[in-house]
Amino acid sequence: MKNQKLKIKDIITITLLTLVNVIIFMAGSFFYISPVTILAMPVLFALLEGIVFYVISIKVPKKGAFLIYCTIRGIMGFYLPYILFYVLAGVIAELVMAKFRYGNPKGVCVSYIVTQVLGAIGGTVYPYVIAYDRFFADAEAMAAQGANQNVLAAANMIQSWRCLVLLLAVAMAALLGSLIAKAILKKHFLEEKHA
Amino acid sequence: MTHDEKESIGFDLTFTYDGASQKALRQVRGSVEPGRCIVLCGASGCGKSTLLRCINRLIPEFYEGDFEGRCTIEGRDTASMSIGDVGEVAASVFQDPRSQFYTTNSSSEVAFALENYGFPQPEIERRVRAVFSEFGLEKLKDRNVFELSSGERQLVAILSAQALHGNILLLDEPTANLDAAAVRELARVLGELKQRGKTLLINEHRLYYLRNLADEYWLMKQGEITARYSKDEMLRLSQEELQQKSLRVLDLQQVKANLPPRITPEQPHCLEVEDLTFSYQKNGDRVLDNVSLEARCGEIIGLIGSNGSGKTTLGKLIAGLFRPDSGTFFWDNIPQTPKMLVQKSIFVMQEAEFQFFTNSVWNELLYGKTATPQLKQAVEEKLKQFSLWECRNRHPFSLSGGQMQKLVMLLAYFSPKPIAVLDEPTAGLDKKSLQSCVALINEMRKNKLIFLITHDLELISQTCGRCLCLSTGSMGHEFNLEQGDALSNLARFMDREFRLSDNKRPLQQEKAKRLCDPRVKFLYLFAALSIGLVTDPVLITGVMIACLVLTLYERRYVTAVSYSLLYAAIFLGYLLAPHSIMLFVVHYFPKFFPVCLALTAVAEGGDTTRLCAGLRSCHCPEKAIMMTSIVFRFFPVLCKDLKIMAQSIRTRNLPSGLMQKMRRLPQYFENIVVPMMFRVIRIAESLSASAETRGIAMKRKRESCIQLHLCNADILLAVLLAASMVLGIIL
Repeated sequence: MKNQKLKIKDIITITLLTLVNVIIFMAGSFFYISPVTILAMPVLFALLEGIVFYVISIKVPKKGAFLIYCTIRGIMGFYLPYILFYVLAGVIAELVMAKFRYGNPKGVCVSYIVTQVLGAIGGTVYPYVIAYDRFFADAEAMAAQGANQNVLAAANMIQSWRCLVLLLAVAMAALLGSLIAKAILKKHFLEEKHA
Repeated sequence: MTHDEKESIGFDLTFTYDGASQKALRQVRGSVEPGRCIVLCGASGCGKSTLLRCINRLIPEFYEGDFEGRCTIEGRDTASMSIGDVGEVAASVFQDPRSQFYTTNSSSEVAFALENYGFPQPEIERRVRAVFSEFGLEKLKDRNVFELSSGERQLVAILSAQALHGNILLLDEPTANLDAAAVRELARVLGELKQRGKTLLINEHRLYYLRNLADEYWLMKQGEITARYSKDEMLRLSQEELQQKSLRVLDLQQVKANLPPRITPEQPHCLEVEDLTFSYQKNGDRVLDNVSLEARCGEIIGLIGSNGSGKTTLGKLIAGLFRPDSGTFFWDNIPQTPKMLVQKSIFVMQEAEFQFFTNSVWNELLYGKTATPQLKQAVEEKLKQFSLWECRNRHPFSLSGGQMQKLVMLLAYFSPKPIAVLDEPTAGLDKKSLQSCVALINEMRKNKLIFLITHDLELISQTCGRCLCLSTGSMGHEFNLEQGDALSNLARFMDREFRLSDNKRPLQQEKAKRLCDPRVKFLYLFAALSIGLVTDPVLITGVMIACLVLTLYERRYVTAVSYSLLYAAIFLGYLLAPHSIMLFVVHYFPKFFPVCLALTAVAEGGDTTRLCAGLRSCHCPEKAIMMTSIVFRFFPVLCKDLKIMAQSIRTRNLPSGLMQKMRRLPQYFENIVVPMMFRVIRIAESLSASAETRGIAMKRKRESCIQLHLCNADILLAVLLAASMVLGIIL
């Protein structure tokens, strides 16, 4: 039986692969351009970041791999709630993988969806909600003067139970991201492995 | 004293890689006496690197497989040693200096192994200072590794190995990525090591620089040592015998011009370049300065020059991958824009792994083309000629370095474009592969104009009709190699004129750095992150002011001013235009400003030496320090790789331009991300192998190479931060 303990090579591999997702994240930072597009960010990242997550799952199918991924991914967001939620996601992902067995595709899929949803809560929902707590205090008067309806609509959505819609959209995108990742994995990585 | 104790290295082993059907090494036996220099030579894939991995214990601990037999280092059986234990006695230097570095500073890199082996800080400092001066390489001390050329990095890697004072040095193709000047400097340093009685075991294709160093040459073939030649026996081998054994020349004097006869190209196109000027940054140093040239289809033109002279930049300009500051390209007298040049040129990069986008060798060569029966037949023929036919269904990333190199050459060959720019196409190739490349390049010129960026005299002698020499961005000498003894003139010129770093522009006098203690900066970063939980503008502004004071204290005036202006602009913007979007911006973005400022301060321009020392003094786990170091070391590298990847997509005419990219977004994304991940996996492998041989896994108490002292200013800055937070909360 292969050693399940993380080696130096494994930690370096996970760290470097995580950086690929950090770069994708930073390349998508132009979505900060407006309060409405900010809400689209977690959906987009959930679609794109799956490939790295799945590659980690086949290259380092060991205990601790997803926790390291989530910790680095969270820290590189440089926002405390984001970091905390990502670390929490890492812990849950590890528990899921322990239940399913490391490298199990279903387990990876569930872990990935959890990671993305919690990342969206820490990175988008939380800052949006607290920003809007203050925003609303000042915005009432502005709304009366015909303030930007898009922003208010976005605010209303995120402020209430309707933020669940956003999280559901993130979960669906993560599921789709998983399917994309599996297809790419099959095309490039699994065939390479067996070459 | 037993027999084993007299030898530096002894081995008698057989090895099969996990999942491989054939043995990589078959009953290989050998013994190296102290102070000897042994060169392992032979065709690619003959088992040279595998043998070195067995000796430094990377096999079987790092690369798994079936290991039989034994290996001894200074009389000790390595079976009872870890990779780190072996590394303390027998240091390893690897092929690719770009990915074996662990830190971002040359001195920290040399100190890296000393830290891992638990040396006390004063001793680390003394040894680092000593090793740079002993080898006359003080100019490389305390330099940012991103400023260093490949040759300089390889020298730092050797110094890093030597700082441990081990008696054995194992070098795996150390010159594969080096230019002529760097090879000369490397030979000098290896000569000094030999004089000091060190045992050297070198796996190498380039043999000429080892002429005065090697005591013995061991020829390997299909996992066995088939012959052992003394220095004199080796030097007596004729050119034909060397070629038969797939060995490259032992002396550059042996290289004779062997150019193919001139041909009449199928299309008589002509490229003219007039007064080309280019710099990477606006108002930055000119990398190319008024370069002009003229070339025709059917020609193979060598672009030569020291490292950093602008050869690759010129090649990328010709391929339309950069936009020149000034100057004009003409193709058959018609002015060309970069977009038009991209349609006419293919650029083959040094880094082969950036250039593959499909999942098999066969698909790669047909990608983006109409697969006619004629094309398929031609592809089959060439794959067979290049010994790649057996690999046609393999993923390009599963090929060896040499095979990848041959595949990218075939990509250029099958490209319908009339200009091909080949950047160091023969780096790390053995004689047989070199000759295949020579044949292919000479065949390519029938319908192409070829620019060959190279330092390889053997390649130049068989392909280039003329060579243009670039020097500090300007066009210098031109050598017409079809004339008499032009090749020997060129060889003498390269030997005389090319110098390591001779193109390095004088560094600006750096202002004396004033840096706050990293532990205080951690407090700032933590405070800045904490205020992300709230939206209180007074508290955020308080921490922002403290961060600005820290930035000003470290004399980063431009950063301080630009952040202050932006911060003020957000609030002013809201006051002047009280729109709901601005209101949102005022509540959403300011909390990120202190984080960015604190992070910039912690990062210290990417030099992680003090950051790691700070983390270590805070008793941070070593693995977390390792990850921090890797993030800082490789984040800029991967960002740069992303740009190279985009260039690679453009030169292959895959989706380019915003609209095309948007239309074929999934494919574009796959083309970017998949090669990036393969590259990352390769980097991870070579970096961890290098770090393991330098004791990263040793469980010893570590001290950092620098000592941190809290001064009054640090304490004052910490008090300022605390006061600003308290005031922010109260107000």
